[in-house]
Amino acid sequence: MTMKRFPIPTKIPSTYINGRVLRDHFKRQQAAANEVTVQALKFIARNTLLPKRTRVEAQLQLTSMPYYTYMNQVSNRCVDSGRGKGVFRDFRLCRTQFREQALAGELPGVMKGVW
Amino acid sequence: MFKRLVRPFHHSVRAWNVVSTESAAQYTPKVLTEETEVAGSNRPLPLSVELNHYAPLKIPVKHGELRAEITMRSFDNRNLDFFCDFALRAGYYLGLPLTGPKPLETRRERWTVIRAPFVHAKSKENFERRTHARLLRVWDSNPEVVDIWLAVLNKYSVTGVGLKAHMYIEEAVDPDFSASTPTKEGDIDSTGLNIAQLTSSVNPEIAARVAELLKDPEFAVHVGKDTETKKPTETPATPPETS
Amino acid sequence: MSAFTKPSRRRLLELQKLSCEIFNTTFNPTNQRTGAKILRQPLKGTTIANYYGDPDFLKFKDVQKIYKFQEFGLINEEEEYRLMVNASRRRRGKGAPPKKKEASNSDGKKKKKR
Repeated sequence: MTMKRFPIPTKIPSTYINGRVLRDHFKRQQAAANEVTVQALKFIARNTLLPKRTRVEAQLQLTSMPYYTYMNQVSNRCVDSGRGKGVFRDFRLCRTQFREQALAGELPGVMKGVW
Repeated sequence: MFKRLVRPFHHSVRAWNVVSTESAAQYTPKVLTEETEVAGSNRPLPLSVELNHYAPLKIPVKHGELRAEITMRSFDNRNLDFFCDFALRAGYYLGLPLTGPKPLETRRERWTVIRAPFVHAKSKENFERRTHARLLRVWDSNPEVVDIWLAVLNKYSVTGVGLKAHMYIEEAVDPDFSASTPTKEGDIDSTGLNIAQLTSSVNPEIAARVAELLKDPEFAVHVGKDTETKKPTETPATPPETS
Repeated sequence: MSAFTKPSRRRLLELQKLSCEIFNTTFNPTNQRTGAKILRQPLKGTTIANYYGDPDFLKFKDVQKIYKFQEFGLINEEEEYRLMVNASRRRRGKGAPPKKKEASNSDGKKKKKR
């Protein structure tokens, strides 16, 4: 199943769905698809051994790429609630979901800490 | 009633030979256990089963050449110790000289979160996850046997115990250096630039894409037109001598 | 001349070049920017793309489709619960308001014009 709200049709993730989650998912797919090209263009642009015109051309192509191909557009979101802030990278969960699931014993090894 | 002789498992054949050649030495093994018949089976408990009541047997390390290091990790130390025990026993019957389990440092990860979803920031809750780890080392053995052992461990793996194996294999040094030089991939003729020379650990995917892009008409137009800079050479020019 | 005179710069550079050839490293005495670090970076695309899990992971709908023609009576409990709550709300008059029709919209515009 794909969605058509974005310029390139993308599959819908199997986790919690939210407008912002869909947007981030789309950016992730595009960033991954264009990663090799972006890195190659970056290499050409940063390499001082190459002719200047070539480097400028590479830089122009880089800047003309759509914003969703940039790696820095991607942001981690909570997989179970779509929250964009306070997300733990280890669990891909926001603090509320983390606490609830940890107390329910759904996160392996995580226990109430006493120290 | 059965009487069990305690004999070295591995070197039993050799021990008998020694006794037969030297008539002076008497074979007088110690008797440690007196065994009763297992109810209903008409047989004594097999020795390999009885050994489970004792600490795992180990084959002594002779040459001290490290062959493999196995790290086991788990959030639960009971399963971990059980699996270590199993690994040691399996290794013993395969004839692997093993040492361990050496307990590695327990990794503690701690998180503090706000109890409520909104405000009340002063009321917090602590969570903790401990990762226990054990290290087993395999010495002086054939890598094929180590592979078999690892396959056994994989087959009878315990839930919640992760296993990481580092294998060490010795190889002969190839004296012919010309044969071992890496192939120069991603050669770019139009610019005189060789990517393989820039760094030894080039990502081949990106290098291939660079070569493809530079051959693209949009880039090929610019090659040779640049009058300001010199034509790039394979290695940058040496700085003027100062001495 | 003592035995400890400093070797000339040229000799040192030759030595460096030779060592680079032997150990297959880059000879770059002027520290020119070659962009090699970009080539060296590992690709992280797959891990980034898989953050939200496998999009083809089986959902209830897919299972239902597979067993479409068999009398299993599959029930999606979450969906059933949602529908039940919706129905009870509607009975109490707390349901979603009816959708605005095109005619009412055009009416509103007419009123404004007047």
